[in-house]
Amino acid sequence: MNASLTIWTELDAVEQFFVTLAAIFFVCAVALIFFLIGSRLIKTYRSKTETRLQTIFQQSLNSLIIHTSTDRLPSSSYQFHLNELRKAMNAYPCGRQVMINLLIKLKKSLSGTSSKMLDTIYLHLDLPTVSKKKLKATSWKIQVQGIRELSEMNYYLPKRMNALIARTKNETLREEIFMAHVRLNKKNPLALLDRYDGAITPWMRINLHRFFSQYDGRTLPDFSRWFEHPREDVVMFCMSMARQFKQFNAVPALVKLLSHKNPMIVASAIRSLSDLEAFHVVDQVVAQAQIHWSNERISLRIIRFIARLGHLDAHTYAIEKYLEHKNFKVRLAAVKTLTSMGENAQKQLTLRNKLMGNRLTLMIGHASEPLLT
Amino acid sequence: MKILVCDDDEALVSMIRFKLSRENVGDIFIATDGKEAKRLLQEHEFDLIITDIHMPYHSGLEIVSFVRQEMKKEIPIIILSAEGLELTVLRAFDMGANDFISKPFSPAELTIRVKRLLNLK
Repeated sequence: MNASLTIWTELDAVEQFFVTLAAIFFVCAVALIFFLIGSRLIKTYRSKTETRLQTIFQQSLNSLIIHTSTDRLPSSSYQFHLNELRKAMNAYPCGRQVMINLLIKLKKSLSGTSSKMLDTIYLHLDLPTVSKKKLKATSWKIQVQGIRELSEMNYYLPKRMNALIARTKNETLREEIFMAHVRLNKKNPLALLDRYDGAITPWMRINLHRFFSQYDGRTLPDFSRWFEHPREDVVMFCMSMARQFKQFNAVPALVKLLSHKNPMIVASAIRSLSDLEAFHVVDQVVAQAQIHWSNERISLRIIRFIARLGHLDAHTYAIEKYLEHKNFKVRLAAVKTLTSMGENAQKQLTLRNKLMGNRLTLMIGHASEPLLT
Repeated sequence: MKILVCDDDEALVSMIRFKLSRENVGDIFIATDGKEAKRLLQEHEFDLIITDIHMPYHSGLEIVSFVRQEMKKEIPIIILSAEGLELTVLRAFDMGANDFISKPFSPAELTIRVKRLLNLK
């Protein structure tokens, strides 16, 4: 001790400063190592506990959920398994959360009686209380977790959360409340769209598509109902849904959208009509060529629409007109379409090329090359 | 009867095993990834395969291709997937799958389809 003190007093001020600095860094490094080891140990312990708990829960859950409406579990057995779950859940602080996560995980894979049973178990284990507590948290991440848990397990959302959709500036929170509404409103999942003035974000589109993909096609909402919505992104989204779920009854409303002021909506309407194979409205679609002649997107959509007719007919003249379009992409699409429409169309293309002073020769070569198509 | 269930969702696999064992359809073997599934397929003679599409190492479609093209076996295969896109379903059948069940599914329905493919009552 005395020796160290002597050495310390022999050091000048600068040396003392650097030695102090080195000592501080050393202590911090040791503390950091201990912290990292500690957090890793806690994480491993938590993960092991969760796996152990899941295995315990799974045994009782299996017995509860595999029964059908014609093969009901006796009430005493139901109570027994429920008590087993309660005991296991209360033995660990993270037990309730592990249980909720497991129920949600299973709910995503199961339908019918088993899915309803999962909702009942959630309710009987008093787990909505845990989820509802999260709604009062200050962190929006925890609030979002609570909303998702309640809606996934078919539990209602408190009214103050519904009001939050209009007030909150947090996009994720708003998206999650919207999705919760969709999940919970079984009769009219998109009812909220009528009074929703937020944007339909890509995340919402993906989730809505995933949600409706699992729906019985006969009970899907009629998406054409929102084709006149004041928000254009809602109109675009509903058109894409009508297209993907083959809602043929949307055709008259889609024809109306051909006269929309936004060219993006017109292009999307043509695409939808094409995907729905509404070839009987070809005249209305081709008429858009004159109105939106300079618009690349619409021109390409019209060409693709005619191409899907698959044969040479009275409407082929529209494609021929596009051979003289100022946009290269449009001209190439027109050449490609005529090349793929059979011998007569190809002859017509050759004739046109001659009249145009062989300006299309390279494009025809490109379109006819099998390695490039 | 030997049934191979391939899915990386352990909770779901456990539930399927429980349900099928309770229905006495045979011995249930579990693979939680494509590699394990291939290993089990080489070690045992299975009467039915139930497989998810998205799995680590090898997908369910790769398993179908492995059974039909490499092993040249006609074991009935049920695809169990959350991806219910028309293209995926068509591709699965084209590769030789015998049935396709979209997730979420009813365990009771799965049992009926398994029994039908195994010609059990």
